[in-house]
Amino acid sequence: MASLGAAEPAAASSADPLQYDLTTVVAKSLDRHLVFPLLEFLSQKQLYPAEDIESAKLELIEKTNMVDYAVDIYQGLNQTDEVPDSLVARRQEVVNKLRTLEGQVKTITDFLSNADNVRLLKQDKTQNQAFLQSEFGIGPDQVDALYHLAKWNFECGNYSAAAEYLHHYRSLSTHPDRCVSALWGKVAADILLQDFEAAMEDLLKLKDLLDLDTFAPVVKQLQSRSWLMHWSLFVFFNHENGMNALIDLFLQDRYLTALQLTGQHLLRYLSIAVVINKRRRNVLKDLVRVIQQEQYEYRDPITEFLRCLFVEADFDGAQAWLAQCEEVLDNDFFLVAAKEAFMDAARTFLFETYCRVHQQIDLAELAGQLGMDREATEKWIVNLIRNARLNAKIDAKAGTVVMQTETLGANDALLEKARGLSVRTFSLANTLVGILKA
Amino acid sequence: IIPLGKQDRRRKATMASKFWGKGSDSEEESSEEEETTSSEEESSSEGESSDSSSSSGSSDDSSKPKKGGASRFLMGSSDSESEDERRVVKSAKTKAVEELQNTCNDIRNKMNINDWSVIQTLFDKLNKQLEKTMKATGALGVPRVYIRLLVELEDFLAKTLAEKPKLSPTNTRALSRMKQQLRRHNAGYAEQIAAFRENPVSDSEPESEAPPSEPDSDSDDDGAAARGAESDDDGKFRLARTGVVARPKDRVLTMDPKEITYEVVSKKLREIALARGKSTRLDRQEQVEMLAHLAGLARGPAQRLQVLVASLTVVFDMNRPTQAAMTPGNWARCAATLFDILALLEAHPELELVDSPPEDDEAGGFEGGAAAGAAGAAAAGEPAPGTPARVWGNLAAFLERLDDEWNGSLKGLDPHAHEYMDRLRDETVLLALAAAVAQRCEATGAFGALATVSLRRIDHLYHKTAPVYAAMRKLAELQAAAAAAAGGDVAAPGPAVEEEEGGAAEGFEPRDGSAAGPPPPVVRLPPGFALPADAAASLEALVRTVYAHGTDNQKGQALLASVYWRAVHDDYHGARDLLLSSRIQDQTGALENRLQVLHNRAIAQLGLAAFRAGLVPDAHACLADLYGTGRVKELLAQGIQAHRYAERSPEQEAIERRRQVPFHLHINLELLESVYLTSALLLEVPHAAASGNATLAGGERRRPLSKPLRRLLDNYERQTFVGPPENVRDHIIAAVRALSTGDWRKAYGYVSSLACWALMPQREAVLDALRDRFKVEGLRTYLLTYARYYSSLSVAALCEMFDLPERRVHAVVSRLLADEALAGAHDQPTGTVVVRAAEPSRLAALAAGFADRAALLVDLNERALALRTGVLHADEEDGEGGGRGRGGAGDGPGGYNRRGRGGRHGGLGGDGGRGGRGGRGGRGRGAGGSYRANFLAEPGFGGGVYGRGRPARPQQRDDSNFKQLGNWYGGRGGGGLRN
Repeated sequence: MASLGAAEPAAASSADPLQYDLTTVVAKSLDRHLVFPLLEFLSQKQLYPAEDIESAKLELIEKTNMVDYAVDIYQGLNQTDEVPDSLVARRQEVVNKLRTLEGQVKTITDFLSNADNVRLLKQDKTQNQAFLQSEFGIGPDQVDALYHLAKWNFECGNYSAAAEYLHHYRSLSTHPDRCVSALWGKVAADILLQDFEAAMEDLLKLKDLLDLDTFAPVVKQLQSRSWLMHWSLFVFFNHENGMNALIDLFLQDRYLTALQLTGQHLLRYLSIAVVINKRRRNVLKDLVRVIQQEQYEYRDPITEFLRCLFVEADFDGAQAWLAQCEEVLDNDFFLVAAKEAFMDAARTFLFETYCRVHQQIDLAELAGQLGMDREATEKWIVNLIRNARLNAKIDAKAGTVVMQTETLGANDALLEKARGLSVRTFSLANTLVGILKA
Repeated sequence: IIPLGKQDRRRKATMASKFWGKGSDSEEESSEEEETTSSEEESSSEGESSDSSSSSGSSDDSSKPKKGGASRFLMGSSDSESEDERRVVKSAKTKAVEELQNTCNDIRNKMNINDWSVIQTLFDKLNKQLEKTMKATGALGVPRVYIRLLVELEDFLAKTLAEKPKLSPTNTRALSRMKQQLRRHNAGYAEQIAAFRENPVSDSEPESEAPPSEPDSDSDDDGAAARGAESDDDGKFRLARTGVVARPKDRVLTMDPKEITYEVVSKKLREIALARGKSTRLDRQEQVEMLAHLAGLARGPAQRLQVLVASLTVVFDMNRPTQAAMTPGNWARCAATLFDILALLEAHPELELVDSPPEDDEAGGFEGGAAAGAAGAAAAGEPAPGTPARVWGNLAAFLERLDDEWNGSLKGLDPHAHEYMDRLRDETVLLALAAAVAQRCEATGAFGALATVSLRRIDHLYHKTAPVYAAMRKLAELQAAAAAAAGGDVAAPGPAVEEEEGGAAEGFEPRDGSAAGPPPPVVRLPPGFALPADAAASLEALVRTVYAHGTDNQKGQALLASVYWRAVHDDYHGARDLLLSSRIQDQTGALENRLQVLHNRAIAQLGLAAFRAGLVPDAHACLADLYGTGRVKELLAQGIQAHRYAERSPEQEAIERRRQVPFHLHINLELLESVYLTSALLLEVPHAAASGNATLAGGERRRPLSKPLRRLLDNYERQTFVGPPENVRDHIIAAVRALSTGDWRKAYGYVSSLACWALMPQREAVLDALRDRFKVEGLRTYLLTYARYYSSLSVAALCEMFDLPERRVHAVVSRLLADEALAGAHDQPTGTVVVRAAEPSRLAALAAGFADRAALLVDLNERALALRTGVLHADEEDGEGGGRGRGGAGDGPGGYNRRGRGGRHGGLGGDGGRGGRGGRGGRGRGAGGSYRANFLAEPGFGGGVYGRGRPARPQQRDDSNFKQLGNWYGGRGGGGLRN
């Protein structure tokens, strides 16, 4: 009963734009390197003071090996040309380590640099191991070193090399846990290289691997699912078929559970994907139910919009929330590209539902609600009617849209009900006969 | 005799002490008597002291009784045996004894004339009187007079049977009946009779003496009765009782404290330990005195500790917790002793309490009592101070026992009397004790015990609302301050403990004979004790301790307590999530009764919390299962409900009685009922209206959401005459009737006039929300019921009618339209709702009904075939059923059984579960009802209660495990699972 009162968008609109910023929340489930793009985006948007962002970057980077980048940021932040000694020493250390690791994996890299050699490898990993050991002197130690090298490269920001090494490592290693983390690394590297095709592929592989691992402690399973969902945002919102994949992934029982338990904010992305993706209207009901359930844990203009529309049937409220969505989407790293599509789809949604319960709508009022002028509204509606999405006519004289609804007469309703009966009975009888004969 | 009230009893305790001085003569008698029998004792007694002490003991006779009396009085004991020795005051008790005696004499007279039929009647009367007397005196043993009579009767019967005198037919019949009765009856007293027969001397001797000094036969027998009780098991326990305790008491109690050496004390201790588990209550009282005395005289901390532990165990032995609770006086004494022990341990880190009696080669048969590690030194003499010593004892167990006794005594008290309140005040003492014990456990690394103690502390906290907790906190402060003030006064004299504990000085009343206090000793809190200001945080910490160290059961209990706490503190969602993620609901059937009760209580609170938060469907879902059974009282253990059909055996009833929760923990049943019925009403009325619509259109009649409410309504409709509403149910029914016509004002008026809303903490807010809800549901019902009689309805008129803003009305109407519950549409320019629904003709309705039935038939046929061929499984059936049910999509609180389908069965089941709401759940539960006949909810309970909860979570619930909760919980603060 408090629902309508709580959904007072007027009060919310005066709040600051950071209210709905999810960066900090999302960043908790991301790799350090994956946070950089988010921070870059934020600094463009200038929502936060630039210094804060820069120092956050520095803090992030200090734990990685991207020393040169760190030096840049440090100099920018402190307005000096000096390089702190610690960073200089660090750089030396990093380079040394890199050299050592490269030395260790020399045999493998040599082996792999020859394309013919790679073709010699078989499907069976244990067989390969024996083969490599005898022919090329590549033992488990070297393979392990390859993993460390890849990791080190990744930490240094050399993502392409890391991706390369990890790919090979995965084909050579028999260590199951390492393989999973190698795959995580690979996905991260793919994302950072903006190679979303590969990332999508790896992501699905990773998902399969995680799904297999049902014996892991529950906490760990939940966590890795939550991570996977977060990472996948990079991929899905940049991949052409991403929305579909996102809906598929997020609405799987296990992932939905993880979402409800650990990452309710992901509902925003799921909602956007569902709204934009017109072919997946059927999952809307599920989504609304989840939103309703998690309402006390998480709400933002997008989820509130859906809730107002589908739970409360409060069109004014939905309208007000929709207006706020624009800003939220604008400030979200993942969603900024989907803004137009979402606003358009959401408006259609709103209108369709609105029309369903009205038989006559004042055009002027409608224009106000949709946030368009009268002309545009009229055009928009004509388009809808033409696309057979809307069974209505415009009464230009009265300035109204008149819905054409048809109700089923008692006779039709009866026929409708009895329609399938005969067919079903027939097939039933057939089955029965089949069984009796057998 | 008027049954003794409590006040009577108290008065008598003081009287007893008054008469102690006079009572000395009888004491002397008994001590003389002991002397005559001492030769027997010596053969069994190992104490070489008994010989020498006999002389010194007798010489001290005159001073002893007074002293003993004084100290008894001091300790506020209600030792009833001793009270028997009063002879002048004719209290109820004396009268009872007199009557008993008179009847005995009557029987003797009749025995002389061989009148068996009268004897038989008198014997029955005697037995009745005996019962009364025992009740009045509170004695455990049977009066010796009675036993003597039994013996005489038996002998006389045997004699009569042997002689076969001529008797009238009535008398012969009476004789044979008496023979059987007596044989059966005497079997119950075989022991006492044997003891009597063995030692009739002690009885006959004073009798022969008595007549000259005490011509009044009543008082003679009175005294005899007292002695009889004392010696009723003489034969067996002489050693323990008289030989060891009584006589040395004389010596030790009167010895100059300087003379008492380490050996003397440890010998006494050993004797007391030997007596454990053997003797009657009287001895205990003496032992307690003895130990209290010894406590002041013990040499060295280790021995003092032994003495204290021994005195605790002795007091613990004085009652059986299953039968009667400890008296407040004893309880306070124990608490104080426990404080002393703790202080002692704190001050002497070299001391250690161990669970099992330490190996002790020297002490020989000295098991189970006190003294241990130091026992090696017992022969050698006093150990040097600071030597590490191990003493047998378990602080956590002592604390648990005290806690149990406290709870037990609350159950025995009238909750509306002052005594109950007084007793409740002791809760602070318990908490202080528990805190200290927990500290100790933590320090010594006894984590199992720590979990136990933490659980006890949780028990005292979890049900407290903020005001109650604040009040208790204040009380604790006051008590601590008072203790600090008093502690300063009595610190100097006597051996009162002045030990540092937690940076604060601790003072207790000296409990030996040197200073007098009021009869019920007041336990003082350690002045430094204060309850933490943030109750939630402290509870959280305790719960986490249990998660970390407790057993599964303990964890479950802590979890439920935590859920309860959150629900009480209006954190409905937190409580619900915690409960769901624990999966404890799946295991309710396997839990202990105690936990099941706690679970039910938590669910009830959850329902109340949901209602307070305005979540009517949730509240209904929570409470529906409690009320569905119609055995709320039993499920919440708040009283015993009479069963119409099932007879209960006394044992069952006793068990049930033991299960009851003390009154101050009760959840107000009237409030609970009001909440449940109100939520049911708010859901049921629009639902019934929609259902009525559907029926009119030829559809199936929908299942009622709340069966109890439906049943009430049906009952009401059957009544010929109805009066104005009186109780909760009447009000609810009146409200239902008003609301079904859309008259929300009247309906709200009825519901809001219920008195029990005053018990709701945020009454105003809740009622406002309720009012709002009534408006909306009224509007909905009105539209569903009457819209078909209109072709259009003005939104403005609706607004006025239901006192709602236009936007709300619009939203409600839109919702109905969107759900196709109402056929029609808004007409925006005119601000009306155009209703399209045409009343179907009778033929149309019937035809539609027929079509529905036909479809159902085909459905069932298909399913039957599929089940037979194995194409379809039970789950799928469920899923399909769920999918078909399409109740009021948004707020139809269908509550389907989450357990049956959902994650575990993968795709289809899960989808079905999610797709369909409403409809199915009721049916599932209906089926469950039949095997929920036993006390608790079976696993389905959880599912039912949480019907609408979070259907997508079963997967997780399957994965998770409440054993792992500790890990879960470690992660993040209040969030429980969500770390």
